[in-house]
Amino acid sequence: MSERCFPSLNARYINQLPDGFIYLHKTTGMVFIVNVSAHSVLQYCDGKHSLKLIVELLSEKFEVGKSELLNDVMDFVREAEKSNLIILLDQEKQA
Amino acid sequence: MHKLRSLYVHISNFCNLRCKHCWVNSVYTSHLSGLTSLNFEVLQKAIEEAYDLGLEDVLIAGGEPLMERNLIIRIIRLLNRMGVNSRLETNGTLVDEELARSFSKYDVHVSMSLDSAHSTFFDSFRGVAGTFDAVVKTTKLLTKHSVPTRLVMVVTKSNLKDVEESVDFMFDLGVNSVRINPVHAVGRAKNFSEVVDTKDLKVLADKLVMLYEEYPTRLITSLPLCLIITHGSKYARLAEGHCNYKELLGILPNGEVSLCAVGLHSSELLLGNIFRESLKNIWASSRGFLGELRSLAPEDFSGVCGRCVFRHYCANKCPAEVYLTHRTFKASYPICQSLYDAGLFPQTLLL
Repeated sequence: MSERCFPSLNARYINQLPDGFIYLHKTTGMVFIVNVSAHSVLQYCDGKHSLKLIVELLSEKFEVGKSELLNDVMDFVREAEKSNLIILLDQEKQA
Repeated sequence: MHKLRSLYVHISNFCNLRCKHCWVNSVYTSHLSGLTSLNFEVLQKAIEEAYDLGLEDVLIAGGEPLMERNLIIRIIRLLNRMGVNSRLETNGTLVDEELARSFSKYDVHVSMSLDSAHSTFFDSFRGVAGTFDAVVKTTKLLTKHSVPTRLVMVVTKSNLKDVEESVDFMFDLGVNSVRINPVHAVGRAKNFSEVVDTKDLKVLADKLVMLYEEYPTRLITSLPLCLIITHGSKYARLAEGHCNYKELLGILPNGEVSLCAVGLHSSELLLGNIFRESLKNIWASSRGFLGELRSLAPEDFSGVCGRCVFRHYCANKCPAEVYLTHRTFKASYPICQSLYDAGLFPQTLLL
């Protein structure tokens, strides 16, 4: 997985719980409940933001260094892809 | 072919208690043994056929199954030999040292009811004096022999206020887990005045969430997930999942095969009889409700369950109760629908 890939959410955001955010997989109906950090990443996973850009945006938003964020975001995206919560596109998905 | 992973074997219609809410309408008797049509040979054949179809787990229930003590011992020995998990639902009044040792030896998971920390209430609810003392004694015996033991509290209007005290009392007896079930308005409890009001189900859920902090992973409830998850995802394990109805059959005391004990109430849910036909044949067919249940998709549910984000997880929870209430498997779980109708279903979970 490279920083140039474009993560695309395979689920839709439903609502918030006291300790998490509910996502519903578009085809399987599986429910994912993620924490606030994961939710912040998933908000940008629209197939139009590259992983690199997502890290930059989150770095600005949370005032954390990009290098600190990169590994965490990549780890999460890798796990999310394994769970089929997101798919990784090589190029920006045309709307 | 679908795997048949679970069998519910309802050994007998008879019971030595007179529970006011019994969902299978057991018939009271003080006579022990010889009251079931089932015998070891016919059950062994059914279990072996189920094993070839993927059997992993057998729940032995009744009536009171231990009224057929020798039959039960033979069955659990068979299951143990086959490597199939065995669970026993008993009222706990007929267990002695020898049985406790057998349960321990054959790794049987035992579940019993204890609805109160007070004998007066419990004995009255179960209809026979001395039941409380017997269940407490059995619980101690089973835990002494390290038999995995669960106590179940059936919650009514009368004992709702006592849930915390009862849960503490049950865990103090040394059991592995405690399950809290609101009494369901089916079977003998169909018109039961003690069924907990819809709004009080939320009160019960709030109590259980608090108790879960003290007994994480060991406390479980049959309340639907919608009443639990809104307190936070960390409580999700408090609510048990859905029935594995696509991989389940029930055997009734007369050998009839159904989904579970629901066949006792609805003759249209009977699929065949193991005295006349092999279980394998019954399972291989799509007769009766089998075809409908196997193709049932959560998107097909009517009512609130069809709109709930957790519809794939709960899968309207208990098809038997849904069918008994609405005469269709596609309706919503009655508790969830009553919450919705009362404006109490969490809007955050609706699609």
